Amino acid sequence: MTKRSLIQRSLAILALILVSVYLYMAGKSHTLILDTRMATVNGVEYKAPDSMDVKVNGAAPETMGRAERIMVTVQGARHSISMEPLSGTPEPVTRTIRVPVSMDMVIVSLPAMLKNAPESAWIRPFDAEADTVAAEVDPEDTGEKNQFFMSSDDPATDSAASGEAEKQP
Amino acid sequence: MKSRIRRFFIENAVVVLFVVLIVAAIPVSRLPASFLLQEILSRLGRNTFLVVALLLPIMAGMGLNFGMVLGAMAGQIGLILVTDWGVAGVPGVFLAMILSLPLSVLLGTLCGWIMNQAKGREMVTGFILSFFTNGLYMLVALYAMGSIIPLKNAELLLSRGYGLRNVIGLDGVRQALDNLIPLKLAGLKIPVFNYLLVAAACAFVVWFRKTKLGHDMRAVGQDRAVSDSSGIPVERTRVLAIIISTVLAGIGQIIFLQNLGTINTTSSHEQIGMFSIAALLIGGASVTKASIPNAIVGVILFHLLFLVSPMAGKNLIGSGMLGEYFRQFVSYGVIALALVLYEWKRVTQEKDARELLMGDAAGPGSRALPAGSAGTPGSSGTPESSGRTGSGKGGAA
Repeated sequence: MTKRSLIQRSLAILALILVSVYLYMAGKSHTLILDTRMATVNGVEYKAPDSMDVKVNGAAPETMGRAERIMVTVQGARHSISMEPLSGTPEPVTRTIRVPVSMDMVIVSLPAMLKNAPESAWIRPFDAEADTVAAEVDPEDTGEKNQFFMSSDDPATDSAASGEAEKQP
Repeated sequence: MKSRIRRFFIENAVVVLFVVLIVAAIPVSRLPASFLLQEILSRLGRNTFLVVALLLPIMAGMGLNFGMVLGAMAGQIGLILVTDWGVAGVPGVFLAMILSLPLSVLLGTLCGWIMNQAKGREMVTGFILSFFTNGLYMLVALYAMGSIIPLKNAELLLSRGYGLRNVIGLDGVRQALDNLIPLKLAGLKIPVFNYLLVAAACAFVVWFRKTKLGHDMRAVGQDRAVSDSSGIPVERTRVLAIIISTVLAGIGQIIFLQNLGTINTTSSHEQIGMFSIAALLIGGASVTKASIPNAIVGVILFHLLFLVSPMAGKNLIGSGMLGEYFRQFVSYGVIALALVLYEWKRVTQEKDARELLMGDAAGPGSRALPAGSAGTPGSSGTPESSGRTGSGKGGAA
């Protein structure tokens, strides 16, 4: 094998490795759990609006109320999430998140993204056990569950509560 | 005129026979034309790459590469890994192709080296080697996966914690290539990107034939002894032919499986060699000569017969199972029939050539040998002919 052909083959193998890394990162599937539960970051509470339309990567919008979760499967590392509150007058907001390759399932806190919380608080890895405990002590959840069993004249509250029962994983 | 017709039927006996069979079977099967057309369009995109992978070993005089099953196994392992890692879509398919490359090269090198130890017996050697490698593959798939080779996706593993499931769903990459460039014409879905890949494989074969290595392969396929005397590294050239064929088979198997959407761990790779070889032979190829039109025509004819024969058998005989056995009989019988017809064609052509030579020897006014006729006495032979070494005609048109 000549020196030239050795260099050519080494470059070809290196190119294949680089392409493989790119394909891995571009094709890696992640499950995003879009969460509208109240987020507390550095002592500051971030609450979601009563309802909002959420679009991931330009797909069809999903309407979410407070304290709800929906799962979305995406590919790649960077994703844009558009949030359009349906109550009040706030403008639609679009944020871009970067999901680490090592995380298969991540929780995306929409209130934190919407209300300009620090970026480090926008996403966290999904931990089934820790998440169940957090759900039990979440004051916002407790409030919603009480309202679910109370009669209410507020249709938004009723629909949000029934939505939580259907959509929560 | 009569001799021209006779020569046409001798040259294309297999193709003519299967066209007649299909023309007879289609009305009996009562399958709608739109269904047949859609299936053939899909199967052309799915299977042709695998058949094109068989052309180079034939050009190198090594006959039909039954060892392509090794490439198919490598492709499957690539797909299993990307499924475990959760890499989906087109990036997942291409990553699987890249992952299959080193394994395909390794298995192709092994296969080529073993075939060099059994010159003249390449087809049966490849056939037996595929069984041997299948045993190793099953050992890895049923015991090493999940234990020695860690897999994090529990859905791929058996309930005991190690060993792959019998059927693995390729949800992430299902039809990723088929849907990459979607096209619908007259209600028919056309997998454009698959056809582009097949065209790329055909272009590669055409280009390769013009390279030095391609010329070396043709020379080796025609006469090993003369090639060796000319300074061509015969054994290395033969191994390279098998490596390229194995790599293309691995890529072809990935294209095949992404269209199906599932891997049958134990059997997806087993039949692919038989079916691809059957298709190539039906297309008019032989063990010493094969071309791209043979591959395309063969895929169309073989899969048409594959589609219509069960229903035709059921409508004729009245039993669905017998129709399925009829399909298996056709699939395996076609290889034997093609080989027998090839041998008959070779004997007939040699006889014609001898008669013409005897006519030349008889005096002026007798006919000259037609150009390209096979077999001047004593020099023709198939890769599997016994007792002959270093001689044989071969070439990919």
